Amino acid sequence: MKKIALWSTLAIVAIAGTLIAADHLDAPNVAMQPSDIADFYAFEGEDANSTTFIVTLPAASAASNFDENVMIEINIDNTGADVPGGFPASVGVSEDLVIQALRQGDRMYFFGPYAPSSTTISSSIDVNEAIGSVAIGSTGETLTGGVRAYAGQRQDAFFFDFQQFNTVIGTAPADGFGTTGTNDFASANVNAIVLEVPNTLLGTAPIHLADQFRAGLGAPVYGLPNSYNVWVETKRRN
Amino acid sequence: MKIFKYIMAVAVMATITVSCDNDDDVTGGEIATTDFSGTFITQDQMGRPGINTVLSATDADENSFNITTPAGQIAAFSGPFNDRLQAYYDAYGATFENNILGLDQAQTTAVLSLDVLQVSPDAPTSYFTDTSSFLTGRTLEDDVIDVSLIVLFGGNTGARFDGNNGTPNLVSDNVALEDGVSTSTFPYLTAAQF
Repeated sequence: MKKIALWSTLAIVAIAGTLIAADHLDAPNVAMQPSDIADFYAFEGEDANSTTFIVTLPAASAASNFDENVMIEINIDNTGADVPGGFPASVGVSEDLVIQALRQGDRMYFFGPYAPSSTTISSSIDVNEAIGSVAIGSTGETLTGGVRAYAGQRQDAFFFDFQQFNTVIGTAPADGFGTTGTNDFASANVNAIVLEVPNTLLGTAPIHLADQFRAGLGAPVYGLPNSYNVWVETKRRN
Repeated sequence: MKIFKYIMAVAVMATITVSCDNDDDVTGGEIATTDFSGTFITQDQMGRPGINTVLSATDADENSFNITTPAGQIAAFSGPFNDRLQAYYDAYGATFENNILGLDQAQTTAVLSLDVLQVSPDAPTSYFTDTSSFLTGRTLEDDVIDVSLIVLFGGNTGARFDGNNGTPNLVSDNVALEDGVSTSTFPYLTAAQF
């Protein structure tokens, strides 16, 4: 009973924390759950021949952790639109490759990149595609294929005056965002996975989707560099 | 009710955590039990930051957007997103002008409703630097909220509704990356501070 009372108090603190924490609180079905994605980053990191992916989930307290039944799946489209110039009538962005991560015990296990058997919202994990695991909170390790991986708690780098945003869309103040702001995420933390993946494992990048779109409009293309189309999902074990 | 469920979940998690710690003490090592079986079903997804938050008008839309695969997003959401953007303009008695990327209102919301992030393997990463360097990924340092606001409200110069000349400021939330939260070396994010 005492324990429940203690954790009830912490939970209330956690809820208060989460309200201004990382996720953009984008949907009530997942808000404050361990499948709630806070942020997704993809960039050229230390190694110019690799692509770095970062996925963050809100961490309301030092005790929070990745859910052992919530798989994190990074999706990579490396074929672009099916019909060049057909965008948006025929989009064709699909999960050609996935990288999956699932915590079990005190380690995060990684799989891929590999072509999944299903490209719907239902997925399974092909254990034959395992590339290794890292201890939660370790400094990062190199896995099969030269993939560098990290999983653990970190500071949230996101910055946004979320409260003023809500004011702007709610009441349309005459000065909008005004001249000063408050970063509501300044003291937030996240559970983060960081992956540095050799580009050779990701295939050849297609024509940039924005240029496929421009071509479809008959407008001058932007001339952007070929790029993968990427997104992240959290998927709960059924 | 929802809060009660959350409290119970935290209590259960606490118990599990304590159990694991105890096991570690007893065995002095890692627990080898793993289970990767079963079917995993999407609960949340994102490509670009803030899209669902900014452009979905209702809870139902937000929930639905999170479980719609990218191939179906334009068909299902470009219309509702366009309506939402129109409502923002209506609130300020204004109309959309072609934006800094040369896109009109419907094109802008079509592009944004396909919620995938482009990342270039062979070029420096920039969410948006200028009209010759953009959409090649997202770094920790990129001011993605301001970029989104500029694309939605900045007009063809990016500075329409910038707070000058009696206009409301709709192109910047006036906040920047906190000092010390990112580094240039793996894993790029700095240690948590509770």
